[in-house]
Amino acid sequence: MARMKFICDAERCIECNGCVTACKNEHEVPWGVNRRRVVTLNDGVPGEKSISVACMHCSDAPCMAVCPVNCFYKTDEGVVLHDKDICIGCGYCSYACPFGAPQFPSQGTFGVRGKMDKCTFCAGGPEANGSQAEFEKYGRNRLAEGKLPACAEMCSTKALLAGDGDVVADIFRNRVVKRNKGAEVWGWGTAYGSKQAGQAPAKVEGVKK
Amino acid sequence: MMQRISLILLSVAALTACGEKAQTLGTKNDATAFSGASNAFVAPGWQAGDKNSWEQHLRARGQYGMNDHSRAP
Amino acid sequence: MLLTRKSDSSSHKAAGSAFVDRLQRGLSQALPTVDRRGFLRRSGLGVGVGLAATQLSLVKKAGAASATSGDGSGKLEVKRTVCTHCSVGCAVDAVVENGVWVRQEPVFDSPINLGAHCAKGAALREHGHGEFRLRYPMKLVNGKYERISWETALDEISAKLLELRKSSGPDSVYWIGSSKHNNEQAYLLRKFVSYFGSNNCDHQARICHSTTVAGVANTWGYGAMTNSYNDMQNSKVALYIGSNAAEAHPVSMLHMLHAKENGCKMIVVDPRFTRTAAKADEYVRIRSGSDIPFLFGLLHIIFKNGWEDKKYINDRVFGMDKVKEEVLAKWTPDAVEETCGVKPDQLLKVATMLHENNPGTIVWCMGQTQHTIGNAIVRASCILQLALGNVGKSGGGTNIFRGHDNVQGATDVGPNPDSLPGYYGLVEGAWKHFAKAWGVEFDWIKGRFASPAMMSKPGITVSRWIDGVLEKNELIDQDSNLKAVFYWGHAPNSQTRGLEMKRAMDKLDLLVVVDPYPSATAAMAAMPGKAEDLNPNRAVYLLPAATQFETSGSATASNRSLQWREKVIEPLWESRTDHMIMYQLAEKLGFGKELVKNYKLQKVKGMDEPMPEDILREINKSVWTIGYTGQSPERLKAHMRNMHVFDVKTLKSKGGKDKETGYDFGGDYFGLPWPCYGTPELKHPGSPNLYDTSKHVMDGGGNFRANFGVERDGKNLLAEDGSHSKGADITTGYPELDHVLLKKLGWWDELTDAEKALAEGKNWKTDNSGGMMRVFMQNHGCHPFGNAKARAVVWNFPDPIPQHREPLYGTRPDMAAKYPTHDDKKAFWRLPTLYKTVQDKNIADKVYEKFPLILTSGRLVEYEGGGEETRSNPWLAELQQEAYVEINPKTAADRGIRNGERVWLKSPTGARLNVQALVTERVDTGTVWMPFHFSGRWQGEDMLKHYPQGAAPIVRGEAVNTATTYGYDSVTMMQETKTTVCNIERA
Repeated sequence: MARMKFICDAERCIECNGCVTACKNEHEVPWGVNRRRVVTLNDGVPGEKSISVACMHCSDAPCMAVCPVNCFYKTDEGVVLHDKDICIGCGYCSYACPFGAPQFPSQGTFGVRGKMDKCTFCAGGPEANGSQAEFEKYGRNRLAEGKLPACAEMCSTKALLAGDGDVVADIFRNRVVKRNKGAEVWGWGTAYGSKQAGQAPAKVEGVKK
Repeated sequence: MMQRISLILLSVAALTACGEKAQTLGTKNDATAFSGASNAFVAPGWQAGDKNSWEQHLRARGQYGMNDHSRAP
Repeated sequence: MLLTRKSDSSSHKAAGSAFVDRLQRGLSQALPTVDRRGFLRRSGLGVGVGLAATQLSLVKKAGAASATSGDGSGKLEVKRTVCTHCSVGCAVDAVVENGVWVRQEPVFDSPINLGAHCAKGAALREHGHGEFRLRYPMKLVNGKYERISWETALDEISAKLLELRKSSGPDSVYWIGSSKHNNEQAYLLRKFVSYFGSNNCDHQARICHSTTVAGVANTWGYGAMTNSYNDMQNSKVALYIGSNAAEAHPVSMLHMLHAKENGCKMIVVDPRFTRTAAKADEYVRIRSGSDIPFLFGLLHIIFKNGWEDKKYINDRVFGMDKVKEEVLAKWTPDAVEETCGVKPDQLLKVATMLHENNPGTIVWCMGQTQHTIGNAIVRASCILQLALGNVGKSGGGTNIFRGHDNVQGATDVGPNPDSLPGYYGLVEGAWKHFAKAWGVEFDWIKGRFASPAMMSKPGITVSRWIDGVLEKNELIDQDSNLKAVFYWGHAPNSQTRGLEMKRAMDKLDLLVVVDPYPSATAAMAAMPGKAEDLNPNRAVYLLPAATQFETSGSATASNRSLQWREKVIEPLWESRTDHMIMYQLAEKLGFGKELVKNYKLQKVKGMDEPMPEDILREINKSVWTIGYTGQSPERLKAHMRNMHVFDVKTLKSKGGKDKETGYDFGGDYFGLPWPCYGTPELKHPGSPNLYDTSKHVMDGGGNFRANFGVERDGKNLLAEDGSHSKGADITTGYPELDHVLLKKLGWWDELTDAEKALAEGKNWKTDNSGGMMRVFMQNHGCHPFGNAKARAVVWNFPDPIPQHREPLYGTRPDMAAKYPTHDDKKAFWRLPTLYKTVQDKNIADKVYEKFPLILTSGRLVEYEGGGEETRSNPWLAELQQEAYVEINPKTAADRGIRNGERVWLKSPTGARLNVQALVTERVDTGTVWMPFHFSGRWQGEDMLKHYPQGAAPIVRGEAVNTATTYGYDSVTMMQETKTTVCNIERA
């Protein structure tokens, strides 16, 4: 069964922001709301790496857990979506999310929050697929159109991959094998102490294996 | 305690994938992605309503669109 | 462990904390440098940009795009077009509903970009909104822009032009054309200016790759990218020197990173640690402008170790022995370290990498071209590749990444001051050739010029138009100073000496901007300057041009492939396409009929517009020199409909036929990269890699051009025996083809009678039947431009062997003493041009003490060129909201500057720029860097009030070129933007 995933190949990401504008374009996302953004580590020095970050559509989503009005749901493919008609804009999901995915439009000095907006994996929301209402509230529903997220489909170097987790993992793994590096940024070194990352598994105190 | 265990067992039974708690919305239901969209933007090459057809189509699209090594070995 | 919301909190801690702990720990390792505030800050919250984009329910703004709902319920059409930003040429499928551009989809089928886009390409659909575009013609009245009608505008402008032509001659008007015009418009503009009676036209290539074209063409034949972005997948080592491809040509990195995964080594040489350098296997920091010492330092090691390709040099290169002698003597590792700052062991490492990995390619852009010695620097790169035997090979070559989307096409067939389309030059024979092609009498064109001498004299360059206005009349090599300027699809803030440009703009009698956006020209012209400069008779007009999405036409990507764009939407607001404007203006000026002689006219919004297809057909019938003859509209359109049949690594078609026309793709290369010789009927497949002797000429193969004579200093200039393209009947070197040679070879009778009639007395460039070429290539496998050696020594250039010379504005007087610049030139492209005087004065005045930092500039991925178009796109503008200067931490600390603070950047011109400081180790302690895409702020002032109302870019910032200095290339008048000096202090 297709379980949708993102992965951003940090060896290929050149911080071109193509994914960012592709998303803005596709969903007419207003100024101030950034469903996707590129994060750069070690900017300007050897070892610089960039990763494109949006909602990770977590299996065990913290946003979903803390929402006081239960406006989140998860589709069969694992895409985490929410209902803006129920959302009260409290911001709890924003505090809970480790990736900063929930976004709020704001106005003025005190940042009045509106409805939460975030990456939908281009799967729209709880309105009829492809309808005007869905477009206005959540953006386009590319999955229902038989397409994959715009950000990944337009990535300049095909660093950002999205789609069936098996396909995504396959493409990424193929590249890692070819070039013999690139997986350490996704924690392989921490998990397996692999030679790639050149380190032993991280010791995590107080956690029962 | 018993209540908790049965609650957990019920949750496990309701799981559609390992480790995930199924959650549905209160009043609204969102249509599945594979049921297609009612507009003219739909990409050709798959059958709306047919889950398998949709999945295969997306897999092929993913490989063609994102795997440059298959286009240029 | 599930994070479930519990009604009681007693068991919450035990369940949740381990997960959260792990999450926190993982985070702190993975994201140490970015915090959420960083995300939010980048998202523009708190930066008052005045965009009303915030609605609490986040419902899409009604009416923004909308004559239509955009929900896919109306009539849908998909138009295939090509991004109009950089020269990679990424294809786009524009989805149009009821005439409104509602969606854009990636074109995975494109062999060039495989569906990929950078930020600009992914944001193209905003061109269909055009909220901040110039909507109607405007005139500057009392410091404000007022709306006028097209009729009024065209009447007044043409009246003024005719008056100037009469009183001051046609050379008093300067036409700055565009690399963003498609091929048809660029070609038409050259014709237009010729009919106006002048050679005073130019475009962005001057300030971008003019030195490349001159240097490379004079080395081996054509001045263009020899291979392609795709072909880099076949390289085993790539040397990027003076190129920031990750930001300037992002999608090219798709091919490079793919190649890296297949074992290609990547070396980046740059004064700055760029995003491209971040992907390199080896990064070399060099002092800005010291490219020749570095390249020749590599060559020194190569020669010393005998790593050069001796057979290749013997067969195909002239003069390498002289270069070898000089390089071995002069460019020792110590000399290189002294001039570049590169240590001997790193130099050796790079040379070894180039030697051990074959084939290797070299990539350069502005870093090499924008210097007073640009023509020499690019030649040093060519010589390096020749020594390694890398030119004319797949995976090798000199991959020059051109800038704008159609700068290659505009250079090939467009408004160049020193040539007619196709590099035919300005000699009488060239004029006669085009008179015939254009269907007019040669004498009529001749009569349009001030004199026959002016007809063959190259015009002023865009980099110096200001001196055409400001310089003393007796020192200019034309009758009158420039009195009128057309900024037709060109920005002003990409040229140096902004302070003087403002003065020149004020002195003009007529200034016309033809652009989809008002451009910084509008604001600069309206802003008050020095009272004594302002010409009371000055008239300033803004004419709204349509973008390339509002017309069809072809554009030539950097790899020389031509792509045909379909029209996506009708021109927005009151804008008109450039070729319609040219026709309408020509009508008012009295040569409208002549301009469109060979074209059908189509109706667009009820008005006549020359059909792009017919203009391309005229190009096909006349531009033989670089093989723009085989790319008929039909072939190009068939290619665009069937991109999937072309292989990604070779660009060759896998076969198949076009469903619509039955056209057979067999053997074609995508986009029929020029040269695509002969008539379309000859069906030449295009040439993916230039000078490739491993292929037959009818399969895109070739050799170096015989353009420089048959022998020099008693040495043979033609190729040695046995060195020729595959299957050539002539197996020695041979001169270029003409009727004499064809007859001598006994092949004349293979021509048809019709062909003989046209070919008699002609050469391959002027034979309008294409018959000689057909016989030579198809029947005998020979190359029409001959088979000769490349020149390592270019005797007609200021420095026959490239010499390192210090920039005019530098921080090392000791180096300037050792490697001084050129002597002054009295009349160079019609103007006196200074070198020695400026450099000597700078040293005498100790400019390097007051301005001890090297100022260099470059590109950002989010913006393109002068930037007014891209900074008017909210999706792009949000990503880069401030003009800034990169300063090294130590340099900043010495001046008490902290990251994010405002600073004043001061230059020897007296200009001061107020910008934000970005403290970073990208630049070293002696260098600072600014992006050049900004404009709209002038020495601390916001120019918003000087733009037409509602048509100003969202993001405005200081233009680095307001502060840049004098300095021009010794062959092409390229501006020296990559290295000047400045100082910075806290604001």
